[in-house]
Amino acid sequence: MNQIGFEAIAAYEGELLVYATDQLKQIQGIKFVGEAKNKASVISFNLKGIHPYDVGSILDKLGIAVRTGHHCAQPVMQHFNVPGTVRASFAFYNTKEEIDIFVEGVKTAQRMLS
Amino acid sequence: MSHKTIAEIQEEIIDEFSLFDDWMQRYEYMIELGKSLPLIDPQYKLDDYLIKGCQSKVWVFAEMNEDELKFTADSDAIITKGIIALLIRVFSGQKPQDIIDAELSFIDQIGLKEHLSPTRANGLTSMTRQIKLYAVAYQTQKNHE
Repeated sequence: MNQIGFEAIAAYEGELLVYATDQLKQIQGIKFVGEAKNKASVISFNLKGIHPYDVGSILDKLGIAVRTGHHCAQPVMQHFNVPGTVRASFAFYNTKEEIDIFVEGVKTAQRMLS
Repeated sequence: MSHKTIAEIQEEIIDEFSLFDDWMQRYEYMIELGKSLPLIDPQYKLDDYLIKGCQSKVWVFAEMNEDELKFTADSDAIITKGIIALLIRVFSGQKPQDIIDAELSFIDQIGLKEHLSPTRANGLTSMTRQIKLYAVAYQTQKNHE
């Protein structure tokens, strides 16, 4: 990591975040939870009418690792009135191609679960 | 209500699931089953009937119908609804003692557990335990009548 440099890593992860957010925005019924201007390359979201755990189960079967649930932040979940969220995190070893696969996976989950 | 035995219903489910080639078809079938779940009366959708140990919420209610137990349920997650729908199909309309004595073979045979995440597999165990506890409670009551 020192060899790559933290600034380069932060810049690349920022790029992944913007790319993934733009791709996910195309999905009807998606609701992002946490839309601060400056944030780490983490996206929490829900699909309208679908439990986050169901989305996570389908993504898991597709070989895509996300976290689901309240992320040990129950007061925040209560505040947003959601049972939990689906949360994808991107690191410097991830690629835009992987984000494309992830977004397709979310669409598949939505289709199956609607 | 069906008069098939618990073992017969389990065989039926195993047969049905053997028709599917991959996990996606199985999941789609589970989701369909979830939609046909005999729903709990909203007045019983209380914490008292909530099953602990599930990441999603699951309510199960039982009532005696002559000498058979009838189960209804609901969940906020659709795959969980499918799982509980399978359990209810096996156990609803059966006598409490038969429910207590039943061996659940279909879960392993249709590969349900290996397809579920650890928290969901735990939830499945909790649901089964809750159904059996209802049966024990009603059987005990019957023995004291």
